Amino acid sequence: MMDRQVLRQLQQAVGKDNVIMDREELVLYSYDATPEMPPACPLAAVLPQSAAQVAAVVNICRVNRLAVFPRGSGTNLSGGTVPLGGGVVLATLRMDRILELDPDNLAATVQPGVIIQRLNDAAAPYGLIYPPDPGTVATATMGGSVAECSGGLRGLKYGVTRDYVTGLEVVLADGSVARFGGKTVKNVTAYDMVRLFTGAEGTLGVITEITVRLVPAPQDRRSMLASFTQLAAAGEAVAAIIRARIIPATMEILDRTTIEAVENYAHAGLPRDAAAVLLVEVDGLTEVVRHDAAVVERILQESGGRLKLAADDRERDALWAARRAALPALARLRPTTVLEDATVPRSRIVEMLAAIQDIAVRHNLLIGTFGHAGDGNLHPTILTDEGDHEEMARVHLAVKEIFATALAMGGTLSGEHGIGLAKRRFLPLELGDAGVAAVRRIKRALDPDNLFNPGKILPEEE
Amino acid sequence: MYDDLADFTADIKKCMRCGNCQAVCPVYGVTRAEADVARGKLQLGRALLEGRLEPTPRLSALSQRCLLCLACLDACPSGVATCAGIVALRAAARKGGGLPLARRMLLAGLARKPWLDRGLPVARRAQKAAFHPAGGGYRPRFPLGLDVRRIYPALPARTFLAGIRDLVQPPRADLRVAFFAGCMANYVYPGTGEAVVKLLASRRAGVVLPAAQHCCGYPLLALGDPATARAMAASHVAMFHRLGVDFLVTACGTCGEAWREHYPELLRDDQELYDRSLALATKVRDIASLLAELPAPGAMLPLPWRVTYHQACHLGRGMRVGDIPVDLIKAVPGIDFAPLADPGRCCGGAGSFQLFYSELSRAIAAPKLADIRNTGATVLVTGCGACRNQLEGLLAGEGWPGRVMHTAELLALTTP
Repeated sequence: MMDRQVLRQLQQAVGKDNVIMDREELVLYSYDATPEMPPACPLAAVLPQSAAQVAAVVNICRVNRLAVFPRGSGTNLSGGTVPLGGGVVLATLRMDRILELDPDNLAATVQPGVIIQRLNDAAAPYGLIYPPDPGTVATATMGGSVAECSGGLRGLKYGVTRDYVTGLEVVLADGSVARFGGKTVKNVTAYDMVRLFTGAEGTLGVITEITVRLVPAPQDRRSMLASFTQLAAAGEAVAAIIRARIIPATMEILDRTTIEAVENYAHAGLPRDAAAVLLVEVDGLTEVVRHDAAVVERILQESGGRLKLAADDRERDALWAARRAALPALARLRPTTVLEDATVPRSRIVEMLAAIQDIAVRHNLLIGTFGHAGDGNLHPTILTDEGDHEEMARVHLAVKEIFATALAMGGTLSGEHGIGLAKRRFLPLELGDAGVAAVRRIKRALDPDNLFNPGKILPEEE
Repeated sequence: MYDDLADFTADIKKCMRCGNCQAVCPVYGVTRAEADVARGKLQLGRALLEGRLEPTPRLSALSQRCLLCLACLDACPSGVATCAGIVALRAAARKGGGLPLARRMLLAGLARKPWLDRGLPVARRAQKAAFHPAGGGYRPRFPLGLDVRRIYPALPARTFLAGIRDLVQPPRADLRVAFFAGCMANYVYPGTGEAVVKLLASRRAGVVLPAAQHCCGYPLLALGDPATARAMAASHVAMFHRLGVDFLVTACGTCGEAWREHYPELLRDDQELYDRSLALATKVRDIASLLAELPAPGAMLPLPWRVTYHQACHLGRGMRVGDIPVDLIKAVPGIDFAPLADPGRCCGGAGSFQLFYSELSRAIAAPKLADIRNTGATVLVTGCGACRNQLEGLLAGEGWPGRVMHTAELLALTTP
């Protein structure tokens, strides 16, 4: 139970309707989209409506030694918003105004609770887009997506969230409000604080305002799907496309297990005998699209791919339906879905896929892998059952091996989901002791009381 | 089924908490409270099953805040039976008390047809006293727990079923159709029932109308009283099973869904009734779907109107009528059809939801009202009496000059 006086202070700070204190509702702020997280009920959840209110909450929590757990829609896959050990969940959902759309500066400024898709809808009439498009584009908040530095399907050509955030307003641990960056393309004033807070997973401060770069919407696009009987041939096609100096907007790969699941679920017309399917989309000016599409088609065929083209938007949707069905189709196979995001340099994507298939066989697990072949970001999806402890033990072994393999190939623990709670114990594998210590010093410098999102990113100290 | 939340353990476990339901939930879209979205409701269920929560009045209240609009069911990547799970959660949460008096009274009334039948003239007199006429209906003089900014429909002098024979037999009948009228057509909009009968007779269908039919029971199931809903399902299955009809037609997606989906689930433990309910389920058609299956009676009278169509949740996502009603409307000579930008978005009415959460319901309806106005249509058609009641009331309250009618009523006007 929370101290009554503290509760009253929180109510005064953000208004009674914006403080959740009933146990029945607090249970709902104990989780995000990550499986196997410890149940951790917060003492209260607050939904402030301004930076000043956020600062007031931070001050109340600091004085009363309560942790602050920033939260958006709670859709992350790393346990990033789980309120370990109680404390106060600070959800930015009710700070959801688009503050400015500035087409002349190709910029937009939003509050953290704005849903990503809403920003895109608002930018569309100006012929602009905000390119980062994680799978949760229709549900995730801008605040959460900046805090996690989310990626998406268009990483190869358009980059990820950090490539678009140019300015932030942040409430710091001492309750002060700082602004970094702005609308300008160029800004080398002091350290790159914008990038530090982007992807900090809410461990350094609470983001209360975000300025992002927008880019012109592509005039045209074309999608192609190719199926391969050999995994290696699909990998060769990816390499050859890059070697031809074509940068597709997306280059998605589905493995055999995923293809089978998609066919059983959605009957999308994928060949069941295929070892891999590549879905490539090029976009840009119509002339460029025509040229790039012709080159990609030729390469896909020369690599042994069986082609399926999309002549119009309807056919394009049909091709993409197969890719969109990947996660739902896999998720329906078993009660629990463990979705990883191991990432390797693009040239080693096939090697990584083969290694994951080998790990699945060795641990007798069902793993379907799909992902962004263009940027080396794979989603090995382990279909399992949380209730089966023996199987979960094998899942944990497999996950560990997937990470070790990715790192051995020069990759990373996490391409786009973040470290959070789920991967913190693996952090030393990638950063080494020196790297972990440096991260820890930054955390201590900005958040000496360990106020913000404690227990995330950094492994517990011995 | 529905009585024991434990029956939904597998579904609740299947929810991977991805939150995709947030994007489509009309309630969450307004409140952005996790308790209001399917993911949150299913996690409440999980906490209850795992003993982390007890059934309390607060839990019951949280479980009630849902339109059962089925939007999350379509959006769920894991195929979780979201709405059925929420209904079971309501039943489980109610065990700790906490269903408000007004809702308990509604449950009691719907379960007892004589109360409703005798209550109608009383309610009609009360409406004349406590409401003043406005916008073709009535506006409450005092809040009375109702929304004073909207118009409520004028109640009819007698029920639809009281005003019609048990069997309407055209001179040459090719088939026999039972009509399950439902509460909205029986007590509020008898014109809908009359239109259905006229349309069927014009297609040479004999229409059987068992006078003892009552509420389909879905409102009771939805409010967390599966036991009474089961008794009502059993009496209806026994009543309609004997009729030997070719089709069982409904004019309300919720009634149709009750017959098709919920009766068999509710009656699962009684083999005979279960088999009969399954046999009847295959005969159930929404009136629009059945009209599309039957040969047209000849030339239609033209209607020179600009018309738009709102798709009721339980007709579209429930009975899956698809484009059938729209195609029927478009086929009427003279009609200028102007589609809504988002026809399947819930209107926020959701049976009694608009009575008990009028502010929230109004906020949910706002985009729908704007969508309707933007079409420039003067006639709004929908296949559901509850949606009609909601949209008619809110639009008339805003001074919208158009008319709202049931699909059957529009089509009946084209039938000579």
